[in-house]
Amino acid sequence: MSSMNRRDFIQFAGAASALGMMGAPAILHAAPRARVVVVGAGYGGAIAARYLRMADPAIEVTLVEQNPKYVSCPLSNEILGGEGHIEHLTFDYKGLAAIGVKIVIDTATGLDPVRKRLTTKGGRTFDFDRAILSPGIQFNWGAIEGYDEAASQIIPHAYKAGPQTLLLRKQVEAMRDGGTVIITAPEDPFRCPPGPYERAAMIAHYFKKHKPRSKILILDSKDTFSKQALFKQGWERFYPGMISWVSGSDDGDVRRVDVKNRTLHTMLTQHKADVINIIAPHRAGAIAEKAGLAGKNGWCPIEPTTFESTLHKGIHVIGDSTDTPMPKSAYSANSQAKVCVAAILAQLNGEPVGVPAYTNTCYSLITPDWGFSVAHIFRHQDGKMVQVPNSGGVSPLDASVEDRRIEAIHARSWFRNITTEMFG
Amino acid sequence: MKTRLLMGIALAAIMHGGAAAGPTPKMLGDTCAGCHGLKGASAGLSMPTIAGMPADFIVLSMREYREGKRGSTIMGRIAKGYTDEDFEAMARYFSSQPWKSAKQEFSADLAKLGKRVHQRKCEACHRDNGISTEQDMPRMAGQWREYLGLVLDESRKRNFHQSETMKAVMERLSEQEVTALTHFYASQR
Ligand SMILES: Cc1cc2nc3c(=O)[nH]c(=O)nc-3n(C[C@H](O)[C@H](O)[C@H](O)COP(=O)(O)OP(=O)(O)OC[C@H]3O[C@@H](n4cnc5c(N)ncnc54)[C@H](O)[C@@H]3O)c2cc1C
Repeated sequence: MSSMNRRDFIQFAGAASALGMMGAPAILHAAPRARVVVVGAGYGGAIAARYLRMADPAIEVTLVEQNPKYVSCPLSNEILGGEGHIEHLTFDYKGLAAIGVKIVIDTATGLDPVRKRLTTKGGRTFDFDRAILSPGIQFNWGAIEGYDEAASQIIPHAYKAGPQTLLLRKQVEAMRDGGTVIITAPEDPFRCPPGPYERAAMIAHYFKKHKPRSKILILDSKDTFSKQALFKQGWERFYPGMISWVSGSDDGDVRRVDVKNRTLHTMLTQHKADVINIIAPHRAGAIAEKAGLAGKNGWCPIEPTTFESTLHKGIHVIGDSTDTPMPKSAYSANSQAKVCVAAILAQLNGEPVGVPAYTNTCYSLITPDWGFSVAHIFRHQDGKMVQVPNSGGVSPLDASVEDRRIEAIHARSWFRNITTEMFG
Repeated sequence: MKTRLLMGIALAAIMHGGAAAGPTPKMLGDTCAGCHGLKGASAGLSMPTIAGMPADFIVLSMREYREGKRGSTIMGRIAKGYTDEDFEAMARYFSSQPWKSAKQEFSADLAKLGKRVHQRKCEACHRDNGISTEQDMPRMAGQWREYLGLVLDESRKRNFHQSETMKAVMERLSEQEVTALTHFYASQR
């Protein structure tokens, strides 16, 4: 970009493309306006890549993703309930490649924030002007004594969708009628705050039809949880006596697991189960941590109008890995990606960064026909993300049966829209 | 470049000092896309496409959601997070996006029946077989059948996603007529 400044360059590029097919591609090949590397093709990264390319095809976007296909966590609890198929939750990156995103299937292993260089397990290096990290989460192995990656092959977390989801499904399916499933739920913050409680409902949905004498016990490290009244109402209505929940204060906090004997230990009690699902506490994705982007609490602090790391300039972090007041959800990751991209575009154009807007909505299911939702609208105020007072919130407790049915239908439409927006 | 930068800074200072300028229309519109589809063209059967809808229709609907005059499951809660200026900005964004008719199946027989219902009960306002958006009418032709079925049938029974005027019309329709109408609109692209 030597003798031309960026603004002149865009005008020049614009004029060149007006000349037709001969001018523009030559210029685009010659010098991309900026090189952006995105790590992670999930709910945050796929949107960031798409919106960058949509806004400005002169930006080179390289998307580094470790898995050849993306399996969605949203709707994966339904698989545990015997509804839906994992193929419907599985996406490839052809749609992103078609708009010119360079797809690299490899694991990012190093990121030098000063030299602005990303390295991969496969031995590749990528120099960038900007990086956007949306690597999701990594588990705090050992936070529950005895629970590490090897243990998760026997006692699944099923909190990253894919083989883990199918492993838990297989165990639930193989269980005898009259058995017990235990789900452990972590302290806040964790991804998908309603996730463990929706999961209990979905497994109960399967039990009700196939193993009606079975039970589900949720051992929680917390005393309250997301959409609590709505979940309790739904459990009682559809699965009376089947699901019980033990709060942290009531000794629900699991400290240790004995994998061989399928036994969980809280401070005072031992719980033996036929199937155990440990939703272990987690933190920012490994690559973000390795690059020195995570704070003491394990999550990445960011500047909320740009999602630029407050620890390293030029590196942006979005999605579950970030330390923000938004719930760690797919919708939040999607919304944050758009704010981040708008800011990067403004910065590249030498314009002031605009006012951001952030939204989250999240649906949960009790049965395939009984759903409810939560909505959050955040604004930027005095350097912080704040929730707009008296807005959003959960579905009313006294909603009609018809409204619950409509929300269950909307849950699936939401999934189609948000995944089509990502993958085309 | 330098003057531009200075102007930028001055502008930012004005925006910061004066009545806080809101997010751009696109910034606001992008927050809706997770449910209403990329640029408001929905891929989800029960979520309406809002791309190309008349701006005043969008503003009016959002206000009525916020004030509880229009029934909904979630829109009322969401609308409470925004100001009138936000609604106007969103409306500017979506009304300038191109309409995309949903690719969907329909029954030719029901569509034929639906056409008769449309001509008798709807064409006076929803002109041109529901394609027209004149007089701030929402486009019906090419909208998702499942969405239309949900809101039209629910508004037949109660005030759901509808203005008061519509509710009065809907009360006089039967369930079968509503179904036929949705097939007719699905057949119009
Ligand atoms: C059971 C369950 C149900 C859920 N349901 C909902 C729901 O209904 N609605 C909702 O809004 N949210 C839901 N969520 C939450 C949602 O899944 C997450 O909040 C969302 O995926 C976060 O997006 P992300 O981009 O931060 O991370 P992810 O979507 O996890 O994407 C991260 C990607 O980065 C890749 N990656 C990580 N590290 C590297 C590396 N070093 N190199 C290359 N690639 C890497 C990963 O392979 C992955 O593809 C649910 C979660 C769970 C577990």
